[in-house]
Amino acid sequence: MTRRLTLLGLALLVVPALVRGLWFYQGVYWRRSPVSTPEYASFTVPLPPLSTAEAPAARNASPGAHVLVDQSHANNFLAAELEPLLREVSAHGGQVEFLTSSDSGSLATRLAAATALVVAAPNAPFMRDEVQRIEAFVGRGGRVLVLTDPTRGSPQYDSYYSDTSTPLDDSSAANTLLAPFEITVADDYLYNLNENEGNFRNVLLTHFAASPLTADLGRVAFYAAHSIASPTGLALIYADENTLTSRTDRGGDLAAAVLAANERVLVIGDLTFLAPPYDHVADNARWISNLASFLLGGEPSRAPTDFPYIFSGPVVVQALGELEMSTDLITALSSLQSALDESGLALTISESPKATANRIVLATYADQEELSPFLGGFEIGLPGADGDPLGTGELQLPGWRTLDASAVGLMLVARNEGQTTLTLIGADASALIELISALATHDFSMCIGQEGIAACATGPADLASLDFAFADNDFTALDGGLP
Amino acid sequence: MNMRAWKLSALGPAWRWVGLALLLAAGILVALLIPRPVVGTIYLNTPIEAVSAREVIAQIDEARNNPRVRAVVLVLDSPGGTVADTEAVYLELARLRGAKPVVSTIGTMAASGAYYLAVGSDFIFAMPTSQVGNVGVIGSLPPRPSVVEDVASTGPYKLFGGPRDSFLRQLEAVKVGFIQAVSLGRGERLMLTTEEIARGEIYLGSDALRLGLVDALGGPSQAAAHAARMAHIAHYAVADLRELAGLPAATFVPFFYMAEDGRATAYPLEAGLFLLYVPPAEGRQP
Repeated sequence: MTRRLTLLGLALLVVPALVRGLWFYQGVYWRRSPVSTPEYASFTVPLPPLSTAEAPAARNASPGAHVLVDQSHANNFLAAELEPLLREVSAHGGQVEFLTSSDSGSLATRLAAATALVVAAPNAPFMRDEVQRIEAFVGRGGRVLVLTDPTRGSPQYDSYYSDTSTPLDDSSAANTLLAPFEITVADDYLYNLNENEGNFRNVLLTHFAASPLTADLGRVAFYAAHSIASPTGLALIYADENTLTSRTDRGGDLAAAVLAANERVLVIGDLTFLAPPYDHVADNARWISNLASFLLGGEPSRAPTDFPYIFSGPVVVQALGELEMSTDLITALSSLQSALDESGLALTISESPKATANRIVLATYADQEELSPFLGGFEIGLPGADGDPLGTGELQLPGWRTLDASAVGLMLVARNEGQTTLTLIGADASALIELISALATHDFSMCIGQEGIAACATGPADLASLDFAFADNDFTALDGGLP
Repeated sequence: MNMRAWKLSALGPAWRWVGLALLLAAGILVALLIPRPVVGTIYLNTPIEAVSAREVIAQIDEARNNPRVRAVVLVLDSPGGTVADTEAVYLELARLRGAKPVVSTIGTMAASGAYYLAVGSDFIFAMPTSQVGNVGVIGSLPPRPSVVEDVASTGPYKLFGGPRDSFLRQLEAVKVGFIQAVSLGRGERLMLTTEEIARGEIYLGSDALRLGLVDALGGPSQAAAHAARMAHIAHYAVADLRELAGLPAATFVPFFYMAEDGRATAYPLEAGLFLLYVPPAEGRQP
């Protein structure tokens, strides 16, 4: 009895707590495995891959190598960013000039002096005539390097002070220039989440087409790059399958650099790789050196309309045959001197200049024998020469009908190992004066042109009377700019 | 007094019942000393910055030290915040989880740093249209180093913190930590690869469930029920840990840049590294 009562008492004391405890607590929380957190101490900042070899020296420039850097299209870059490339160009004899929108000379005029053109991150479109002149420049052998960059999508200039039209993103602006070369820069960026250079948009590229431009390259790093498409161009640098385009989030056949137009136009989807410190990451220094070689290798043929930029050094005037240096002729030559002065070039007169001198040769059609060394390669039939056996007084130009030599003067530009010769041929001294005047005033409105040749109406005749029709011939009307 | 007199059996029948009743009353009183378990709730509906992180950590401390609190629900509605503050909360959550279960529930958004915290819990609920994910790091690059004439300093980066390039690479190191936190937190439930996570996408809650970024669709009450189940408690009470911790009502802390027209942008007021979602609708950075 006593024991039962004691147990009952204990139960009455304990059971309520037990019931309440079990009402609320039905087990014990027990974690099976410890909570894991990231091993923060093991994380390190990714470092850039460094090149194992010094960049090779860029080859020496062609005589008169002249790289024009366009800054007239709301270009969104700092000159310092191109410095590693332009330093290479300058160090190897190339001359570098910038063209800004406030410069007096137009792109067309300045191209006349250039052997290569660099267009970086444009944000204003290229006008139709600019495109045509750049196309002609490339056709004559000039090199064009177009650098685009997804980080330069909009201009950093005050539109209030800009005379450009509505700014475009850099790929659209570049495409206005690149359309004739069948190259399209995509409005995208490449990225690689698998293996990159410190950030997903900094892509490491290891696939290269065989070209002097990619010689000795193992890996280059681009710091945000557009993809570039060209049905006819060469995908010079292209991405692996893990590198995707932001446009579709897909990879495969994505080129970051394309070479086109007989290897004269190079388009790169990135600009940042040029700028320190990225210029020394991976094989970028070597790549930049190769780019400098590309720019230095341009040697465009010259046209008379490129005067005075066809010359890169002092010029000697040489009169052939019986041509007299009359007062009128010397006066006309003085106007040429003024034009050459603007380019810092001196003009002298000599009867027997050195063979290596740049020269302006003055002659009449009558000076057949003396002229012959200067006509090589032009395939011109002068009146009374072999091309005019009947002595009709007619002038035969390649791909052209015969012309009346008495009313037409010729300007011929020939380059040979850095030496430039401009040969002016007319019916007489007054015709030569008219040709000189056209050169000095850069007025070629009475001329038609072909590569290296301009045929200009002299005397009382005009283009119409000379039947300078444009159909069925290889000549183009000149208006003071490049053909 | 004779000890025998205290035995129930020594009492008369009436007094026996009185004694039993007293024992029962004592038992009930003892039972009442057993506290009703509490599922503590922490609300994070602001960016994660110094003040909000400090308050959340205070609530985590309260949850850890208060024996009544047997489980915690973290109610998230945040675009994320600073890296260091997020990591501080994340590590405190990890300590708490060693002792008590933590369940997250996502309201409108748990992006970037807020999702960092979510993966630091044992179970994640989301609404079908919650915005979930945005794994990654952002930050404004420091200015290009230059000489500042009016401020003297003792090193090239004293005023700037470091080269711009180094800053970019630091983002990557922070990202690795974030992704590892996601991998550790979600484990085999995660259906995305590391690269897919690193894309920084925001998913709808329903998609996030399919991809293993969250565990179930539901709100705070489901989260509390799940937390209670994990803690093996029933008939629990839900309590705001802010009140239990004795914290004052949350105060507004300016975190985002205010435009000149007084409109708040989605960009942080101060430079730094952020685990933050910045909506694209805001347009350009000020």
